Amino acid sequence: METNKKSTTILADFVPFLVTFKKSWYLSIIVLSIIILFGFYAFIVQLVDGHIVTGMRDNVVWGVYIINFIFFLGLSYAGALISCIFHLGRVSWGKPLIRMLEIMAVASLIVGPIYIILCIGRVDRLFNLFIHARIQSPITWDVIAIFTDMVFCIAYLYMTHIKDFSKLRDWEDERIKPWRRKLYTVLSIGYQDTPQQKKQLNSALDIMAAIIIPTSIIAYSLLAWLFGMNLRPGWHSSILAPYFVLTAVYSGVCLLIIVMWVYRKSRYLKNYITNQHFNYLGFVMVMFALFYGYFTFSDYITEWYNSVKVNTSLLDKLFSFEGYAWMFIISIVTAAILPLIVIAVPRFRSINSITITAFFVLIGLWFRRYLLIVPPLETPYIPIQNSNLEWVNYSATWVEWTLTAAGIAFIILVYMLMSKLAPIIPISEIEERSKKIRVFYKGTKE
Amino acid sequence: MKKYINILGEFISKGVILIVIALLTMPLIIKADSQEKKKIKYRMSLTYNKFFDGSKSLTVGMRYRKETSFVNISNALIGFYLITDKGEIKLADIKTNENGKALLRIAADYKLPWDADNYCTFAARFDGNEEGKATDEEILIKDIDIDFNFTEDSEEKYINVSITESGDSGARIPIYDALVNGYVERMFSLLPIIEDFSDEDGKLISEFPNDLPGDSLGNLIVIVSIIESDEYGTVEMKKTIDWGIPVDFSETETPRALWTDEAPVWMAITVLIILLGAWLNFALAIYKVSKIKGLSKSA
Repeated sequence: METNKKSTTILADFVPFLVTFKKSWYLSIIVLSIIILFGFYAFIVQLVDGHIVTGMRDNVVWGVYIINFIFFLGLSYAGALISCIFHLGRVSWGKPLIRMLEIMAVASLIVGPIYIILCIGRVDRLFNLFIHARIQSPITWDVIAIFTDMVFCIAYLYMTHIKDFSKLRDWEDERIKPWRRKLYTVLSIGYQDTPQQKKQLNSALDIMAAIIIPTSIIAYSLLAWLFGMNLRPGWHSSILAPYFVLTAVYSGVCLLIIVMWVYRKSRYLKNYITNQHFNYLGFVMVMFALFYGYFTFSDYITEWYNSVKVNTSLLDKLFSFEGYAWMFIISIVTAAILPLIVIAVPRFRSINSITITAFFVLIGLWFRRYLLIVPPLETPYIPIQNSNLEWVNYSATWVEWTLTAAGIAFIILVYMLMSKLAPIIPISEIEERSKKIRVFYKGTKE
Repeated sequence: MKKYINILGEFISKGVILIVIALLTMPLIIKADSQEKKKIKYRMSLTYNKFFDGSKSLTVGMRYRKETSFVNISNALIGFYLITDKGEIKLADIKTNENGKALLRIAADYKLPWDADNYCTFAARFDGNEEGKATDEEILIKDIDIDFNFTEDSEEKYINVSITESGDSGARIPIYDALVNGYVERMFSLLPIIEDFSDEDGKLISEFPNDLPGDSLGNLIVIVSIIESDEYGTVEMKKTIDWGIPVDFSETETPRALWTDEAPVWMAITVLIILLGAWLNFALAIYKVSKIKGLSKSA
């Protein structure tokens, strides 16, 4: 059968990559593990000495941890959202990217909430969030949403692997060790690609994709409302929720481009991650850059125009070069302007330039989260009495930066390990001719 | 050549003349500029207050007019005086605060030199400074007392006010036609209950409201005063009466709200529906996946 031949060819491309472990791979794992261990050490230092080892004080009670929490959660929701849209919409060019997005979703969703635990300080009181939960609290909504999304994303990631696990289980190749074959046997839960099984699994995947999309949007909007429902200047904005969702998806697209560029270095993947993918995602970046610029302008001009004293203090801080003007300029230039120049102009457009732009956009968007958290906390809504002058301005310490690096290392580690468990390209998705979802097409009258 | 020398010479000579003129007029310009600036005319107000415990106060307000508004003057040294037949008695020197006010408190037991007609002259003086002219103000105040008591009959409650001044041998002389205001103290302001004039006997009777909430014992603080009178200043008397409705401070059942322990019903139902909807769909997907193994055996 032609389908089998095609799948045979695709698997044949990927099996060597799965079973071969080069020295450079081991070295990378060691380096990443060291970074993560160093992060663990920093956590112990914080646990023993308290939050005094961080830059957080009475005035600025949230810093790099919350910024990372928002950033990584945004990546997670973006990964989930985009992969489910690709799946439900049966977007053919998006099929090779689905697994990368799902791994992004799960890895970031594991790392993100860890930063909240780091920020809490008294970790032993974490369970109060559950024991004394109040349904009126946006924090309770956020805890429920994150937990729900985590379960859904992990389940969806596993479900999308079932077909590939079954193919790997049945693949006759002595390079696949017995323990690995046994693992695939367990994980494939007896899937044999019969019509009934296929129907059940495809139906389950469609249901999961359909519920993950609103869950991701609502979950990130809840996170935005934690800030938006606060009276603090810079936070109290009704467009914060759509702004968060927008920047999340924007971040996710940029990280996807970077991941694609890295995997494309492998000769097996050049046929599946093509120039066209970079083109399409590059244009998506341009679109998001325009929206990002519009939302940012709209947010700031609204705050500036009402001339409320405390809003004006915040904007003075943001636009002053002794304050945060440099960071603000970098975030606007990289996230709103750079994609327009590099990608929208054909002369500058290339795979490398798109990837470099994506990298700078990610930095710009991280800076944007920094500007969302720290300057408003330095501008209290109600004056703080008896405040130590040294505590007014925030500056992150080595503990916070180490833990940030550890989070990034963890995500890279997850990608590396997952790409050794199953092909990073969903073989079954590519080789199957996707059936259109009837519910989208039936009943529409002329 | 001679012609050009002549022209040059002309320019130089004219230039020298101009420089000399400038040098001669410069001192005049500088002198005009350094002439003494005109001092501002300060406005002073002086008010007298008498409190329920017998203490008094004198308050001076200092300000000046700037275009269409007034600007308060702070740090102006004000001298407070009593003007008697025998001369001035200096009471105190006090500087005005950031609101342009200087306040002098006079203890209840301080014997003010009231004359035979119960008048006393108070004065305040500002001796001027670099920016403002000297100014002063005098007020002639008659010493009066306010007293009131409470009576009630079967239907109504009344407050009986008496405005008097001291006479010979301790006699009380009624004050006629004094504008009297009465209030009940509330949490953040005063509730007006009386606004009327005293009669020939210096008396005023007014109904007292029946429906005012008091504290937990029903106490109300009543203030009767004459406010900013040219002759008497501001005089007040304060008493407590238990004619208020006692307020029950025991905890009542708190309604469901954002800020209470129990969430509003609509919120709880909405959250439940959303969570149920998501998790039921998830359960359905898991059920479908769980059927795969069973289908493989039968395949």
